[in-house]
Amino acid sequence: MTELGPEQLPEAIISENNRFSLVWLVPIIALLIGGWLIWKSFNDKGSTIVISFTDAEGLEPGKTRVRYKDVEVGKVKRIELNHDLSRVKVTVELKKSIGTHLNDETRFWIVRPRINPKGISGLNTLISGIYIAMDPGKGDGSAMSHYMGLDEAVAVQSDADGKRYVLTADSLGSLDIGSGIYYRQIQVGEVTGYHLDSDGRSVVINIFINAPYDKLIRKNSRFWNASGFDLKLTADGVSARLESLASLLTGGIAVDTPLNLEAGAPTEGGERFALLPDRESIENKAWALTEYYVLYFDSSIRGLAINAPVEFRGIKVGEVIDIDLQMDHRSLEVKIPVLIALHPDLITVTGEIGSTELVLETLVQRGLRAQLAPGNLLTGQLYVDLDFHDNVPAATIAQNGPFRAFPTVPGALDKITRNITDLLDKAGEIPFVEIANDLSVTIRELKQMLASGESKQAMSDLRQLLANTNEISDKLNRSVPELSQQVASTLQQLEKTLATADTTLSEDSPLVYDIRRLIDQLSSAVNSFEALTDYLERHPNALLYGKSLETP
Amino acid sequence: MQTLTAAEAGLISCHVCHALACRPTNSHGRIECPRCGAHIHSRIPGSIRDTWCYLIAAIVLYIPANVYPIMSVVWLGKGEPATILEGVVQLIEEGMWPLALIVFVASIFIPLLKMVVLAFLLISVQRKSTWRLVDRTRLYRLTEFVGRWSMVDIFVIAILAALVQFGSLASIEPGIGSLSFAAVVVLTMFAAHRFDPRLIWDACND
Repeated sequence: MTELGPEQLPEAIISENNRFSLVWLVPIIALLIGGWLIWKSFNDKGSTIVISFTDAEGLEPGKTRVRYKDVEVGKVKRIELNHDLSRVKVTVELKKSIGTHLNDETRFWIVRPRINPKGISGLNTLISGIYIAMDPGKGDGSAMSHYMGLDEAVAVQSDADGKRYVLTADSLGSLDIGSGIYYRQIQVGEVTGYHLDSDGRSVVINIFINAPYDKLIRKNSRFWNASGFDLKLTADGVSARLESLASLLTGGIAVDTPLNLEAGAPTEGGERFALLPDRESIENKAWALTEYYVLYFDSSIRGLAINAPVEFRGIKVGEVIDIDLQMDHRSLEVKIPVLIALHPDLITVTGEIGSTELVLETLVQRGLRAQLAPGNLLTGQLYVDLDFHDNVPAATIAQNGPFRAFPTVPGALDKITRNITDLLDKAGEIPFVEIANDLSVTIRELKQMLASGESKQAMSDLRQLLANTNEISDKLNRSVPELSQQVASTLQQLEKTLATADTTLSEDSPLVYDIRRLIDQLSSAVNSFEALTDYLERHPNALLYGKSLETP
Repeated sequence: MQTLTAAEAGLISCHVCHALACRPTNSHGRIECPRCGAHIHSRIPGSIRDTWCYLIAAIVLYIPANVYPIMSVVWLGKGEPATILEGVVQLIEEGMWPLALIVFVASIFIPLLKMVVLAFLLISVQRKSTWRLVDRTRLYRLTEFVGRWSMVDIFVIAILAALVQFGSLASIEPGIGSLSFAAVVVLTMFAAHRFDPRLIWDACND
């Protein structure tokens, strides 16, 4: 090939140019991917909440997870102390999928390895590290931004099938969270929590009964503390009773529906029961559900003792707890407050019922009052009787200091005393003197009537009549012999009658005696009258001037 | 120093058979090699446009590459997906300064440097700047040379993820960040490749 100058080189060929370059797709795709990633991260961003715990032992920001049913649903973002350094605020980012399930009853707690008599739990946290567990709960409220973390694990998840109940007891005993509930020695549930009642007088124990067994819990079911074992030394020998080995170690509650009571209505969960101290208490119909009321009496309560029964129509529903004497500082008014305990669970209730307080309020409106009633007339012991009274002034149950005051009415004995006093007052108003005067006048008039000659006339007339009758009867005897017999008997009777009359009018009969005395008095009166006329004959002026004192 | 460029001489060399051809006077459209028929050009056609495209794509993907976890190491159930920066911090906390430095330089500094340098070169070329032409060319050579070393990270992750799979005992999984990071590295390499350094020098001939 000869040397070629640039001039001799062949010219390059020109072909059509592509207007659009595919290279633009690269940044477009990159933008799409980037945009998608950003959108995704925003979309997946769940809710951020703050949970406060008492301590943050083992929690690590960015590492500790939040799990529900062992599925990771969130992550701890930040851990800081709250303003007064009393608690730890753990900021948690929850996944979007779980964020919508948060509500006001969602609970969080830290899962740590735990060894107790019931077993070992949370062992996996030894390797995987502790985590925060959650229970979404079934609250109606909306999600909150701050939650209080629990110190103890939730024993029963909110979606577990079963029912919750509340027990009240005097003391907790050896019960703990997780203690079993036994029905005929089969575990049917467990204790989920406990706390003191707001007034500090009792312990409130929350329990959960698992699903098929919750049907066994009736309104009249009785719960008793089955912790440890019962050892009894009686005349029959030694008897020991143990609910289960687990309950010996961790405490337990037994439940049964006694046969001696009607099977109660099925429960709906959330009912309050009394936790009885032991099994015997059921048979004794003991109770632990107690409400206190104070009764104010104005009158004497002599005969009312502490522990005196409170009865409703003869059935004991409570007892007297305390009696006191109160005097108002200013008005010097004296009141006697009597504290009584009512046991609402002694009353078998049929149908739906609200709280005891509401029911009592309604009953009071219908006239339920407390009054003192004599329990024993000989010893004068009193008891508190609750019953309905008509025509009592309207009253309500009023809060009075720590207790609620139940309205009272005066006692029955009180009433009787009052009535007798009233009666005596009225008796005092009767005019006894006037009545006596009237009586003497009446007697005098009667005497005069008997003393008159008419009575003697009547007597002789009667004799005459009898003679006539004798004659008639003779005639009749002769003319009508048939009749004579009857007439004779009639006459005999008549004679008898006359004999009676004769005895009445006989010499020694009281009537004759009276008449004689009357006659004697009359004759003496006549004598006096004679003397009077004599005197008047001699001293006619005495009519005007009276009897002169000087002797004639 | 007096130089003569092919473009000044009106010549184009074929990149495939290296034959010299006269630059056609009418320079519109595509130019083909008269000998082998390959597309020939005195400067890479659309060099600036292509470089920009790749660069923009790289910059966009650089964000998820750093925000998203690049890999998660789960050891005995404990473990946490970590981003590149978290990995560096972790290494520093564990006292492994040299390693942290290497990771930082290879994974954060170099990609960033490449993108900044490329953007700077592109802008300066577009402005037909004649400022420190030799240094800018050196900068370009450095960018092209160093670019591939950023892939070290990706190789490490790829090998570890393939090797360390012991179930719950220990496992390593690549994250979204590693994909983005690989894309960034590849895109910046493309961008550097499409950039025609001769454009830097064209400014002094105009």
